[in-house]
Amino acid sequence: MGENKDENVAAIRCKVSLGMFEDERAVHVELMDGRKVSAFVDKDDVSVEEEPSAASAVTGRVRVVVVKENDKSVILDLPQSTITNGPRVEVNKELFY
Amino acid sequence: MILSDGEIEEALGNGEIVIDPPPSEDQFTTSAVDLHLGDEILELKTFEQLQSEEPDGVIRPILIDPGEIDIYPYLQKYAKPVPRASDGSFMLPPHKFVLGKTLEKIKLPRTIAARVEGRSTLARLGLVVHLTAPTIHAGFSGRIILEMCNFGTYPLQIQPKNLEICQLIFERLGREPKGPVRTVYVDQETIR
Repeated sequence: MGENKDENVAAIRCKVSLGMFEDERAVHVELMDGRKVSAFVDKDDVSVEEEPSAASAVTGRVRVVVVKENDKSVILDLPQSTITNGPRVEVNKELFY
Repeated sequence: MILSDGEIEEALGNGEIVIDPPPSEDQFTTSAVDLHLGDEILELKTFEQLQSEEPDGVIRPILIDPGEIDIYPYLQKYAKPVPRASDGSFMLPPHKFVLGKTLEKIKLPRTIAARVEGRSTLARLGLVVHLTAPTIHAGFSGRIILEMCNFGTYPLQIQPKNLEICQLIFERLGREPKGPVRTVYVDQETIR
């Protein structure tokens, strides 16, 4: 989709399932405190090796922007707000690997 | 500061803002760009429809707790396409709530936010295109979800793709938001 490519984009591991609309996906991310949050994001913000189905989620990666890096965690912005909170979340650094 | 039509055109021209497909001249107003309604329209199933999907004898009361983390499967399960006429239009009766998306895909830099608003002509008919969620955060990428409801007296016949359903107002941030931080992770495999 056009220009405006952000060179600071990274990606973290997540679970991916179908969204409400055809061109969106639901991503599920585990936070640093162990809570799990979900967000509906554009399909283009997600990469998967196989597409999720109505019956099962798959492992994938979602585009993020890193806002702050701590010793063991990273504060980042997901592409969309999570269903229970906003888009800014704290995750374990291991999710980048 | 709200961007004028000329500033929006400049931002589109230099790739700072992306609208795909690009807006035609007549989609601009002095301080906004009108966007079309996309083709996919969803409605939430009624209690009776959901109940009919359950095994015989199972009564499942519907009480949605927005704080429940696993609310996504419910939203996914509860949504279904809105019935369409042969010409692709759909009928929105009074007090009916549906979800739509803009036809255009938007990409904003981290220095420009936007607000999606209705159009006054459609508002006179009672058509609302968002419910308390007009903010498009800086850095957004994708199509904009429209929470549409007919608060008018009469049913509305709505034709996706043709109808300029909403307008997008762009605002430049006073200063750059926190981040992005250039970390080692940026150079790892990303999704693009």
